[in-house]
Amino acid sequence: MARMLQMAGSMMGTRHEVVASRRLVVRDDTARESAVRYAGFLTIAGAIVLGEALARIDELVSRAWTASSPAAPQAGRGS
Amino acid sequence: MRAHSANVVEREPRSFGLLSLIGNVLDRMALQGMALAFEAALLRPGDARAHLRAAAGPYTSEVLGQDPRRFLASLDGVRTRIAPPNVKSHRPVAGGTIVTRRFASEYVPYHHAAGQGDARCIENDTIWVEHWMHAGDRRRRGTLVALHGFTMGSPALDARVMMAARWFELGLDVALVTLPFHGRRASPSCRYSGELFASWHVGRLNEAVRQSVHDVHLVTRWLQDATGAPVGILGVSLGGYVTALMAALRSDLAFAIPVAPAVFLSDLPLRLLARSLRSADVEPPFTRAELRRVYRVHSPLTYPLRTSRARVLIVGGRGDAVTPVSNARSLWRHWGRPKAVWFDGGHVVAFRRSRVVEAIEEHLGDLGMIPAPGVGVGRSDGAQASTTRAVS
Repeated sequence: MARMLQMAGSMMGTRHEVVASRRLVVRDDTARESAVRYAGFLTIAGAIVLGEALARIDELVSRAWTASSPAAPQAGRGS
Repeated sequence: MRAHSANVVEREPRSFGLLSLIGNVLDRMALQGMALAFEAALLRPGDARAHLRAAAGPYTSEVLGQDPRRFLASLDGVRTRIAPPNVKSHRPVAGGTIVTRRFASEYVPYHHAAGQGDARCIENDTIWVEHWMHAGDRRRRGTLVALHGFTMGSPALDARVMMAARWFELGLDVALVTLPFHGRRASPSCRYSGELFASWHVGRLNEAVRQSVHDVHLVTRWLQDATGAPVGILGVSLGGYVTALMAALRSDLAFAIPVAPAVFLSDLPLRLLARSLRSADVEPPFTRAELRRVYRVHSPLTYPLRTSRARVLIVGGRGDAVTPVSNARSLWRHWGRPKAVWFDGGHVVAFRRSRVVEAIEEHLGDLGMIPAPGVGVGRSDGAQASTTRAVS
């Protein structure tokens, strides 16, 4: 639980204690840097979610097209 | 220039259709996100410039310049009898069990000062493996070792991205390995998973790649010994880099499938820095040429392919803007043009995904990795076997 809180604190950019004697220490960030980091991960997540939605739509359309076209070859198999 | 099937081709990816364009645009959006997310690490590397540049020294020595394989020679010394891992937990999954295993890494750095600095990351000393195992039958099954990408390392997310359930349903056991400095192996003080893996500290990056090779070797060796069945690797992005490197170092892999692999590790940090809003304030500590020289010791392009070419399948996205398809294409050429799939899409999205999955299934089927009902798969050396699985 303590580690989870530390992780959460790290993600939110709050200061936390680090046992410097046994760990590689990464500095605490400023509030601005934390906000930028958050914005960055949100942007990445947005791209992934948007891409996933488009891929699913494409897959559905592709399957429907294949199913409605008797002359179309079986997707994926063959030589 | 012949086609194996509708999906597996051996010609170079040249066309760039609408779907790849969409994938490319989404990748550029993700790249901008990465530039923001990693900005603090890129702009404030924490170590003095002189210290960062000095860290490159041991990896650009004349000795390694003449014989880069010495950097990875420790692979030959990984102990032959691997201590059984600790079992942390079991949980059910349709058709079997997911066992969480912990191996002691016991990795010894090539250069002791690098990678450790004044302190250690004790979390990184444990290799975490999520082992999806079938239950209820006595068939010998091969194992697909799945290697995640940079900033990943959460087993739940990794399983989804690398479609663990699909390969498991197909009849393979699956082992999701957490790479060094990622997920549970990251220090709690890190900004994000993998921060200590990839940074301007090239010495630490080199040690992290070397440790990845060491750890994946250890886990695959243990799986081979424990199951008596073939073991192959599928890796995505950074995991694709490690997969490619393993294929260049080992001849006993049942298959190697690098998906959207990073091959030029020197490119991404410089491209991200260029996208940073404050890039004008900072001069990168290394040029691209310098980074390539430092990373040469573990580049898959440095070594010939040792795994049989017939066991390799390269998967690349035509519109990939994170690890451009030139990465996968360079590997494909270097390896003498093995089977490859060039899909429509980019790094964050693959369109017509079912075709890519079918191509991988076809590849695994051609290699005899998919067990038929009531029949186990062969041993790594090709001999058929159907003994009880020894792993639990």
